[in-house]
Amino acid sequence: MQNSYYLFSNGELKRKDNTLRLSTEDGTISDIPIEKVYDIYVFGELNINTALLNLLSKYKIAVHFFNYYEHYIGTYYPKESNLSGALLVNQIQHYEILNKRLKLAKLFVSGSADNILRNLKYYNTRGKELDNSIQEISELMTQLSYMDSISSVMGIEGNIRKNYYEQWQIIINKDIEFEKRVKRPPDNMINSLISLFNSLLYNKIITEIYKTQLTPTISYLHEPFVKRFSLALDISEVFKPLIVDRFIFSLFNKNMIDESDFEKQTNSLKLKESSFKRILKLFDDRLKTTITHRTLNRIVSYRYLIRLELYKLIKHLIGEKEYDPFKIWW
Amino acid sequence: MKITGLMVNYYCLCQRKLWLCFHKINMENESELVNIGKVIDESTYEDEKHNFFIEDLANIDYLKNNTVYEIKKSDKMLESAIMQVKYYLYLLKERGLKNIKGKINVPLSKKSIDVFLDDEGIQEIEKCLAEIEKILNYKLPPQTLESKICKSCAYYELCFI
Repeated sequence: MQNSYYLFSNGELKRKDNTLRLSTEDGTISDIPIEKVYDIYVFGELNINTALLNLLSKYKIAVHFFNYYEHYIGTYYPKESNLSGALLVNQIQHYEILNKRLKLAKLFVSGSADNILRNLKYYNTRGKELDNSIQEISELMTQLSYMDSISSVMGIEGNIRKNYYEQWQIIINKDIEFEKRVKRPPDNMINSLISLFNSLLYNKIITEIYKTQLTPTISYLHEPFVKRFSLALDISEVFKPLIVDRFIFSLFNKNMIDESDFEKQTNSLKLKESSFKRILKLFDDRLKTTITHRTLNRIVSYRYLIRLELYKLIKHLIGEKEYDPFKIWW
Repeated sequence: MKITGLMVNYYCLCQRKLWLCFHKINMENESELVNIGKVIDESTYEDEKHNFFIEDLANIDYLKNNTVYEIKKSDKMLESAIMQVKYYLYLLKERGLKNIKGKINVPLSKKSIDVFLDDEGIQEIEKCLAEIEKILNYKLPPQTLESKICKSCAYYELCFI
């Protein structure tokens, strides 16, 4: 199995024959066989050269870069080799024709809401008082079908998320003041973790999109100009409840994280490097978690569920089978 | 329409794969089995003349002593490979080359199969070319095969999700 590599060291990453060689400032050298690499996440200060980019392109490996504050700054996205003109035409058509776009936008939101409800119901059966929220979100979902503009669909999505986030203080067995989502800058531990892992999920999805014929810039729920790869934002709505939210709940409820893992920046919180490494490893393990897929009857990882979602979208776009967003079934 | 040797092979194997591949919805580079096939192709018969092209229709593994050679990873899907080689012979015949034979080599099981193109074969090929043209013009991909071979196919997840 190919792995994601998360590089924290400062130093140099270069090509050594058919291998990636990481030489760090303190003199250690590690070699990574290129066939083992799925994608790369760079958090340190690295020098790279074109010989390296050449090799990465040959093996079609995307590299995601982050700055000192663990904010995503960009991706080295090798030349597209998976291009399908026929699919691109369909992707654009589904954006341009409002009814087609609305249909997809609503499916992304309802998929997301289904998974949110799954999470709430899980904690509800474990003695947390979430009945009201479950009812309110279910109601918001029924309103979805009457919406006739993308902005109103987005509005519903916002309201669902807002209601959901309001329950996090109940779900998480910790006394953390978390009333609402604050992004720039994230003001407490929970907001800071949401920002970080939403962003990592977004990058995971970019890697998956790159492995398909889909064009990452054409999206349906989000406007194609909000972010460079806005299709990844659409898909991430469906997976946040499974991959990010559940992960954050378990970090707190299993006492795997607390205040001592963070350091205070001028007006935000940042994970300490050692804590970040430890938690990233847990997150990576989570993506490798496998389940038996009901339709395929094959064992698939969470990471691969994302790819399957893209295949379903392709089938929708070429008009073969209507997209049915992924639902947590366990 | 330009019909390649690979398209003839896919036609015999799975019409859905033919359609998807023609529309550039490829899955091959994701498949371990396909990569193994590629390595076998690159690492066997290295001394022979490799990759003989007939315009952009066919990429013949190698040509030697009036014989067209096609290298395959396994002899499981022989029928489609035979049609592919017959199509190569057909293309060569159309271009005035006579008395060419075909051979399919399966290095892993040390097998070698002879292929000839007779009048019946010519008819078979022509019928197949007309069918391919028809399929590629479909608006939607043909249905999934639901056959045993699907399990090892690079398109399995796309087809069955």
